[in-house]
Amino acid sequence: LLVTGYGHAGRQRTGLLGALVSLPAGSGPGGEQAGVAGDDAAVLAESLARPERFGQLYDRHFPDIYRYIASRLGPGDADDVTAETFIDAFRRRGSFDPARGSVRPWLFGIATRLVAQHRRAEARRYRALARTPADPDPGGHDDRVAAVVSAQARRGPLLRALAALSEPDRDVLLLIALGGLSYEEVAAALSIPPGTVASRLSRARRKVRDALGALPSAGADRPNGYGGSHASQ
Amino acid sequence: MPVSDDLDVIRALLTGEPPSPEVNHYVKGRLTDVIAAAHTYPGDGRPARRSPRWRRTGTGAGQRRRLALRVAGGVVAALAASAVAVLAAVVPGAPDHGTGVRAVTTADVVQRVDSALSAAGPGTIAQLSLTTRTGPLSGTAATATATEWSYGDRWRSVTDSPSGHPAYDQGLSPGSGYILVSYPARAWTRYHEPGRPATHVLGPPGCPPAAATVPLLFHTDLPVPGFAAGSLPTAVARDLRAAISCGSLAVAGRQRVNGAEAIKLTSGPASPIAEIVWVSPGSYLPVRVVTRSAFGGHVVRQTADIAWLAPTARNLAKLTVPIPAAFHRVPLGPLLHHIPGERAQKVTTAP
Repeated sequence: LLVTGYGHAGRQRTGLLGALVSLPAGSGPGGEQAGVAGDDAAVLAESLARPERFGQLYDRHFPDIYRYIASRLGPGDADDVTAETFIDAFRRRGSFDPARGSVRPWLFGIATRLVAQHRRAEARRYRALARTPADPDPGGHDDRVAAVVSAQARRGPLLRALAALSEPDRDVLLLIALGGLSYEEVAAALSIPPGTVASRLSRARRKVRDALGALPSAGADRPNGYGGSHASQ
Repeated sequence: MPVSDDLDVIRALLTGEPPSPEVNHYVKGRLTDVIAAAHTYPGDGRPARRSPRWRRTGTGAGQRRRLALRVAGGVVAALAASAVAVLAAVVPGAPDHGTGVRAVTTADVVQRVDSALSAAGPGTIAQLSLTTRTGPLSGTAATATATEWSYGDRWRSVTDSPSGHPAYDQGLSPGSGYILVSYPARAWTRYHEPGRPATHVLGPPGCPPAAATVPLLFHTDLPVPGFAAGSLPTAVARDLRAAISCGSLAVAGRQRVNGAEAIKLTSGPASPIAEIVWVSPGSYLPVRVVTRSAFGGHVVRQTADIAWLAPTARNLAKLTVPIPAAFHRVPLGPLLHHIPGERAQKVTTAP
């Protein structure tokens, strides 16, 4: 094992609190702060000598990874695939290369590869969603309601379009839409050039828009929908 | 403003609910099995035979096994990377300071430390005063302080605010589970993750790769959720014994620590983590551990001053987390969100 260091860049803590307070306050859809990314890499390196430190990464990223997987496969398969994602990441942690990206897209990349092994479950998910009647009262924030209503109205064409996408195109589209990853992060997650991410995303979105009809592309300049530092199309 | 972007529509249609606590427990349990196994089977945590999968609804052998692994993981993790080299060479020029030891070998010190820790183990409270400095290679460093106590299967840690008052107080005991009190949030929580006494679990023969690389480390950040509290004295003794032929610490003379004579052991130059351990030449118990590492342009230096306390009623009270009456109880998750991303720190000059 190559142990490259011990401790956290900018945040060394003790006790259970140390594991807990390192939860990224600004994490979640839309990317991560540079400090958190560096901290993740430090924790991952540290976990080579102290495997239990990997639990800290789990605590940070489990909610986002789970929701991404559950969004693609449904809750029935998500718990097992999420567990396999973190177990696989733990076993591969020695091969993580921080020069190729941060830990978060690395985890999403592992999750995406495992999702690909459950294509039938993903197809079942789309079929099930297509059969599910629309929720007449989605509740929540206005934007959320509008999005849900819009989605419900177009769910059939949208789901068919998603199902018809090639797997590489769908991976890029859903990593951005559901995972909140930037172009660079998707490129790191899938080990492809950023230009390939852009072309795949463009192709996927064009097909989805065609299926949705005359949906305006108000958010076309914010590919992950969360603004911030992410690259635009 | 209505959201009509195609990506928003995809999100609205596909995004599911956040994970339930039960799902979190299940997934974490599976991962914990693998991590715990990594202490026993260094590397990827894969045992020679595939372990039976824990079922979330099970209360039988699978769950007991998982619990046992957590206990083992906690114990071994407490000082999993510990290692002490056996150097037959006599330390040159070690002076006689009236302790009857003119020149000592690492092996001799290790043997005595091992015996001292074994004797102190279950009947002594280890008190660690921790100072952590973190900062860039050149420039200012942030300093954080905390105090921890470990006694058998009980553990407590108090993290200080810049003014020196408790900011976070946390403890673990078999009866009470894990308790976290946040003074900034004026709230507390209880989490019934199993904390178990540190039992000696013998690992496989040979030297784990980590132990061969990294010297003795005081794992002051244990326990973590899903892992048991380690008994510091017994864990130290156990790991010293297990790693005696694997490690990288060597006697490097003597120094005064807090006004008292101490034998100094240092890590080798190839170690990625520079570590110095001082032990009392009288009791042979560690009295100070300093680790220093550089990573990503930052330096982390942690000092642990260790006192060994008799388990009097007054000292045992130090292991109890007091919950202020005016504080309200909240679930664990919301309390974590009250905790800022950076612990209260004050700026000092880098070491």
